[in-house]
Order: sequence, then structure tokens, then C-alpha cells
Amino acid sequence: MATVPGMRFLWPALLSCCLLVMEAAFPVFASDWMMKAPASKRSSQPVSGEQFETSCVRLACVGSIRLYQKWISPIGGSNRCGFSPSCSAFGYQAIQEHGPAVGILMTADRLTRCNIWKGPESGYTLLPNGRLYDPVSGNLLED
Amino acid sequence: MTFFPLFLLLSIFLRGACFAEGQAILLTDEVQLKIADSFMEEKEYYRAVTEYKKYLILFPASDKCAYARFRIGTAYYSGEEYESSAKAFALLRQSGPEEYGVKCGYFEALSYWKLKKLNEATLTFRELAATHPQSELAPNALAASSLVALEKGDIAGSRADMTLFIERYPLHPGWSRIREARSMLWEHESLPRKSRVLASVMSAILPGSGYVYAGSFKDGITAFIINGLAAAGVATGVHQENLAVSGIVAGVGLPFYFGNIYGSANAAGKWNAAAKEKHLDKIRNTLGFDF
Repeated sequence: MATVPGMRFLWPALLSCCLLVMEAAFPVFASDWMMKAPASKRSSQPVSGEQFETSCVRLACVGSIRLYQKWISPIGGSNRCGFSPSCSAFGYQAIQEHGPAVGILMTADRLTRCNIWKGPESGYTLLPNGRLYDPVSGNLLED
Repeated sequence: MTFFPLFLLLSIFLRGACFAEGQAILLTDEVQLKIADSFMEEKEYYRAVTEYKKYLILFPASDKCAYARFRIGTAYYSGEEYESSAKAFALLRQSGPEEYGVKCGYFEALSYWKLKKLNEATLTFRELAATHPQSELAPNALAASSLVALEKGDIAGSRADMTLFIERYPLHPGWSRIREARSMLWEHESLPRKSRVLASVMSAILPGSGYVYAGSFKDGITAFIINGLAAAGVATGVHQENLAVSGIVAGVGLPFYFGNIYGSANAAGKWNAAAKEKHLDKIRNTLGFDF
């Protein structure tokens, strides 16, 4: 029986997508709003703040970052990034706060700046833990 | 046997009572105020606030209530709780005795400044300088107001405050420094700036060049290498008719290309902000006022 080329990759690809979605969605499901009252008095939706993620692109982006943080980053040892927040945390926050389009640009810019020459002389504040402070809020185009 | 625990408890209670009798302290308003002041001296600001509040509750008719309220504001300010200090000073300024009006206004304005509520800070400083021009804090208020205006980007307002200072307080020890600072305002107006648009366009044409223009030379080199490698990868893929590889490399490289444009504009903005802050520091040092 003839098989379509590439079909054997379909199930692993689908599984990976599901994993990404679950990775991204897990923090929302496990957020502490669920534990703030007895079950009978608890609302079925978060009261405020974190809402369920509905944008597929954003979900895929933050899911990928979560996947990286959980499974890939620890392989080379933790706390390797010289910036605070780390590049992955920066990307996660940027995408969550400013959407996938701007968030990806900000993350790419951060990855470019996270080079071997970075140092306090480049205008970053050196934190007591030896890292350079570079928050998402300091990289917005607004004045 | 049944009464033994009761007896034990009673003896402990009586012993405690006797001990308390021997150490009795009469809590007067002076004692309470001393406790609060000692916490302030030890820089235990939050405990000091509690003790001053206790003073207000225990001795509401005391003539030192205004002092305690002022110290609450000072404790909050020293403890860097600027929202609370601004509220405390504002309340005392409105409903307290006249003698605390100027000091409260000054510290209220300083609290707004710390909170980056620049409009409120300017208004309060200027109001103080206008209503109490002979007070010793009025020159400081004018100098501070000029700096706040400068932080807002209101150069004309800053110049007006400095001019008022020069006209009003010719015998003030800081007079010559204010004059010098005023002359530096002209430089502040014409500080060199990097154009965000130009940086973006440069990076769009040659990746990394916008960073170099904005003073981030090393980031520019990195951006050039990353984008160069991505472009080479895409070109090689196309050349070898391997479009899948080209697509993947382009998918990875494109965010870096657009990120390089975004980053260049951002770097230009950061350069402008740093230049402005550097010049502001220069003016602050010239003014030499301790806020």
C-alpha cells in the first residue's frame, strides 16, 4: 500500500504541538486563583489578572519558551545567561505583555545583545548577583 | 491532688503580678514620644510610625500631636514609602498648624518627585515658593522645581524657576551656581540626538549598522554576523535548490532581521535617554542642592 511521504512525521508533530499547548496552558490551570476559597464558593473563572490564553500564536510562542526552560536549558547548567531577567524569561514576559509580533522582535533584539562583549559599560546596571539588569520595560520604543 | 495545678497557676500569676508591680512605668505622653523618637534615631522607621500612631491614639489632646504627625510623614519618607509620606504631609499641611505648613509642603513635593508624579511635585514646589517666599525652604523649592521641570522636558519652566531664584535670592549662597546651571540649559536644549528612524533605516539596509550609529558597536557586529549567516544560509539553500532548508533558515533569520531594526531604534532611544540623563546629572551637580 502506497503511503504519502512524510506521514510518519505526522503523529510526532501533532504530539509535539499538544505538548507545547499543554506546557503553555499549565501555569494558567495551576494558578493560585483555584485555591483561594473552598470549592463551593469558588468562581469557575479567574477573578482578575491572568486569563485563559486564546491566541494560538502566543500560545505556541510561550509554550516553546516554557519547553526550552523546562527541558533544554537545564542541560547546560542553570543560570547561564548574563542578563536579568534571562533571555528566555525576557522573551516569555515580552510575548505575554506585548503580544507575539512585538515580543518576538524584542526577544530577537535581546538575543543579539546577549553576546560575549556585553558589560556594564554598555549602559546596563550591574546587579549584586553579577548580572546585568535589562528588563522588558526598558526596551520599549515609547519615550 | 486536684488543686495542685490550680495552686501552681495561682502562684505563677501572683509572682508575675508582684514583678509587674515592682517594674511599673507610668506611660506619659513624653515617654511615648521618647520611645517613638528612639525608634526613629535607630532607623526603625516602621516601628516608629506605629509608636507615633499610638501616641496620637493615647494622647489626642496633646500639643505635640502635630509633631507626631509630622514625624509619621518623615518616617514614611525615610522608609521610602513615598505614597504614604505624601498623604501624611498633605493631610498635615491642610489641617495642621501653620508652623508645619512649609516643611510639609516641601516634603510632600519631594515625595511626589520620588514617586515620579512630576506635575504634582512642580505644583507643590511652586505653590510653596509663591506662598512662603521668605521661608528658608523656598529657595530649595525653586531649585527643586527647576530640576523637576527639566526632568519633564519643560526647559522653559525650568528656566523660569531659575530666573525667579536669581531675582529673588541674590544673597543666597547658591546664587552663582543657579546662574551657571541656567546657562547650561541652553546646552540641554541643543543636546545631540540620534534619530530612531535613521537607525532603523540603516539597519534595514545593512543589518547592524543602526546599532553602530546608535553607539552600540559590539551589538552591531553581532547583528551583522547573525544576519549575514542567515542570509548566506538562505542563499546557499536556494543555490543548491534545497528550498526546505532555505525556508527553515529564513524562518529563523527573519525575526533576527526585524529584531535588528527594532533594536537599532531602541538603541538610539537609549542613547538619547543616556545623554539627557548625563547632562541632567551635570546640572544637578552644578546646582549642588541636597534634596
